Amino acid sequence: MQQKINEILHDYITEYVEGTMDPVVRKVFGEYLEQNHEVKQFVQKAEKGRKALQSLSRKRASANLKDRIKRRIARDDQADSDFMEFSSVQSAEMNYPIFNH
Amino acid sequence: MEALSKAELNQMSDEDLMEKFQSGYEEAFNILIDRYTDRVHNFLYRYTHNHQDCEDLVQETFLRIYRSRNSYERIAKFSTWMYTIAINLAKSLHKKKQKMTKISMHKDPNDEEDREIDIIDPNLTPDNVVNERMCVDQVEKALQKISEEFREVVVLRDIQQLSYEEITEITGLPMGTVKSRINRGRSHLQEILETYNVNMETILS
Repeated sequence: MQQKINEILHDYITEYVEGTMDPVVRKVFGEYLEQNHEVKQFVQKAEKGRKALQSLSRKRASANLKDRIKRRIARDDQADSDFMEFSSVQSAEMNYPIFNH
Repeated sequence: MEALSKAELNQMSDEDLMEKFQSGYEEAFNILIDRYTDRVHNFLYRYTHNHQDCEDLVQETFLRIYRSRNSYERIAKFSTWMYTIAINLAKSLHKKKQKMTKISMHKDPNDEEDREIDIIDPNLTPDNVVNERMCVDQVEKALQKISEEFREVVVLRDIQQLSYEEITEITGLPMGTVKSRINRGRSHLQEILETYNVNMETILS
């Protein structure tokens, strides 16, 4: 059945389900649904599915996650700058091999 | 460089903070971490349903943003850009895990960190509270059962409450496809819920 619902109909369904439809259009669309049992069932399921999804409460991150992110970035940054320093020393040594002796 | 206090930075938009960060204000990035960690975590948890994977991905998301700060252009909303990075990382992990083993779709009951924020409605009786918790668990379970293409968009719309325009930007899908997937995702979720023997009225009313 779902394949039968075309893009325009999906447009109407999202507005209907989310309550953003113009009241006049809503009334007409409601009448259309009364005539189209399968679409009506689909819309009813979408409405319930939406409410169920909205019932999910926020998953809280661990209290220290923000600090861990900041520490990891600082560590990563430090590793990068250590590497840059190491590379520049190596490159200087390669350019001036005499300094190795 | 003009010195800016943390209070001044705190009042800035995300996009202004990214610009400040690009010009060398590290503190601006810390404020973005403070603003978005919970939101990205909430989103990624619905995607992975695994606490450890989720926290790893949140860290990786911010690390990517940090490293590729200069590729951000103001034409995009910061949050849209960030969610795109988070989704791509989540998809990569999902693919990697699929290759390695069958993924576990259920949360770990022994994981103390795997918890919800308690929002208790004082009008609910104890029975209702228990039933509500059971319903929420069923919705979580059903969400993991719908296909990834549906889950991605319904989470962005109904849980993260992003606009359709933002979702099209993040997913790279045409508007018509986004709407159709959201409708079908919601409907499919409800079909799965109907197969569970739980009274969903507490959360649906």
